[in-house]
Amino acid sequence: MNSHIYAVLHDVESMIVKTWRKRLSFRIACVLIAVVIVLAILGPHIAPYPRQGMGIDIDRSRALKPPSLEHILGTDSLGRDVLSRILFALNRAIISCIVVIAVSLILGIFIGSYAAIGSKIFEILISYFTELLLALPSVLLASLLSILMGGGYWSILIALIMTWFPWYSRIAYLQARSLRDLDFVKLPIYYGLSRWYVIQKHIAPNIVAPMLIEALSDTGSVVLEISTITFLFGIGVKSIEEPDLGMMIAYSLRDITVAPWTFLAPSATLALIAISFTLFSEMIYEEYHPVLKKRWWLWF
Amino acid sequence: MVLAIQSRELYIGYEVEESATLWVVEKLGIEVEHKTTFCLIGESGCGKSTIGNAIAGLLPPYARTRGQLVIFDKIVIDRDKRFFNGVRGKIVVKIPQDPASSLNPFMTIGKQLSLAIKHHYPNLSEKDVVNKAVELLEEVRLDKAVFNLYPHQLSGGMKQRAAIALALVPEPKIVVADEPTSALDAYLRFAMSTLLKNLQKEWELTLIFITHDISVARYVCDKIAVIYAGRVVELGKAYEVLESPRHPYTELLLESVPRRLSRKRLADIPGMPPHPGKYPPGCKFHTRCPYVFDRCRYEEPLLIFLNSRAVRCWKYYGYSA
Ligand SMILES: Nc1ncnc2c1ncn2[C@@H]1O[C@H](COP(=O)(O)OP(=O)(O)OP(=O)(O)O)[C@@H](O)[C@H]1O
Ligand code: SF4
Ligand SMILES: [Mg+2]
Repeated sequence: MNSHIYAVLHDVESMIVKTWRKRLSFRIACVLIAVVIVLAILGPHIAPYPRQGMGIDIDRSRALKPPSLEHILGTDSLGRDVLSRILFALNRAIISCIVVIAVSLILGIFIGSYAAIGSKIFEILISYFTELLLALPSVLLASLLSILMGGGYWSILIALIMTWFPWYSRIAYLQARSLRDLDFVKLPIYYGLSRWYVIQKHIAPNIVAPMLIEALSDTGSVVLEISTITFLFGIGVKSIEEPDLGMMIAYSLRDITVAPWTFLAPSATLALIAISFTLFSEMIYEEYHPVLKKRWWLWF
Repeated sequence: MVLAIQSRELYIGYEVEESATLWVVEKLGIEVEHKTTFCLIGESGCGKSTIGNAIAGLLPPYARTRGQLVIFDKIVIDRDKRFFNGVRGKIVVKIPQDPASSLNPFMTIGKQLSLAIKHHYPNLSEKDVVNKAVELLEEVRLDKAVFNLYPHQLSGGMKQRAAIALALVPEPKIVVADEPTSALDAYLRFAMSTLLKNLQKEWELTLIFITHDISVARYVCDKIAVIYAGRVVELGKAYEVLESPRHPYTELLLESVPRRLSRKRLADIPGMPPHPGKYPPGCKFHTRCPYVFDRCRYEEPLLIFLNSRAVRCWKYYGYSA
């Protein structure tokens, strides 16, 4: 098992290192991603006003203060330090995004591979189901699903997983299809070993490396989708106290003329995340799959 | 004399569309004695791999069959039903045409061998499994160090040997080797043939050797079947068939192979082999045969037995029965 993990990581690493050597913008993107992730992890610990960041400490007397030494990015309409809010929001955004990506990746790999080597009927059903899910605009579909599921924080995550795993299951399906005619996949099935065993031992290790890269590239899109949903509908956020990038942007719109910093700071953060992950994936795509569809088209 | 493989009027085809079947192999009747080497030889596309897969039980689900195939008194193909449980992967194994595709690129050779050994002998201890794997590697003349290498770290010949080791795990009785030498250069080709020949002797295997390389066939095989358009056209002891061919196709096939100390011009066979589904009427070889006469165009010849061999050609009808 360890050797599998090692081999996969080695593949991922070599893809990244090769692109790193060639592209300046890729290096910038990687550094930005690293900064975002470090900030997201450390955020709650280094935030200057953790209570304000969590939204517990509200004081209208310091509302809408412009940036100063005391509040580097100013304060919002409820008198909370914008920097602390952003750090907390970042933490939450990255964690939910990792959960969404990881679960959809695993689901995608297993469902996709099973479609490729399972029974014909299952293959057809899964293909059509995947196409159907991919054809619907994912933000709207996810919002609808999460409203149906009660609109909690978890319902957003589950809804996003529902809309994201078809991507991975399609990629896994296509890759597993090209493997299924090879003898080391075909023969064990003829010999009567279980399909799950074959997927675990022979298919998943062979397709997971490119899919990990794929998943890393999608992280930006997922952050953006979560924020879009909270921005547009406020689904998944119980109260305005909770730190969330989409929510923050939505509420700051009211004060955009008097206190533009409350709007600019979270928007810039979101843009930074989106741009750095997009840059990352674009560069990898250009190096490895020049013909693959550019994913950011789907944002519009 | 024990018969390892016996086929009776075996037809094999592939379902190409709904209910349309492309018959690739027709009227196959062969008998293979146990512990001998039997060679299938013929041009590309004549159905050699199809026969090999049928014997190894590896026909895809959309393949259609008629007739019977018997392996050690067990009927494995009976009309359109196939019963390979307990035979496939235990009594018969196949060494694949392309060794690269039979090894998982993400597992070391040792790991793959161990997995297979554990599957076939679930009671062995971890240490015995490793010992057996190393033994098998030695059996195919591979170094112990290969145990810890990944397939991409091996050369083509080593991969082929590793694939053979993997195939030998269940201690099979019949080994189908589908062009085991075609991916190798001329020198390795003979090393590989020697290896298979020795393994066949030591392990007392029945070896079905599929090739289009006549020199290798001459070297390895006891009996030979020349296949043309999905049917046996000549069948007999290897040296007899290759020294004094009877069927016009075999003659031409042998003339197209360079021989030592011969300055004769190499002949090629005019025309193309027919595709399955487009086999001509009458003798399937009549479109290319230099001896063709009227009867050949209308009526398909039967397999005519001449002493120790059989030929499917009208030329020999009533010849020396
Ligand atoms: N899985 C399949 N599905 C449909 N048709 C097939 C399949 N496999 C083989 N055929 C057809 O059967 C015919 C014989 O194929 P086969 O692989 O047995 O040839 P071969 O003699 O092994 O050739 P080669 O020397 O190139 O390996 C070919 O014309 C091919 O079109
Ligand atoms: S039957 Fe006729 S056409 Fe066929 S091989 Fe013999 S001589 Fe040639
Ligand atoms: Mg073949």
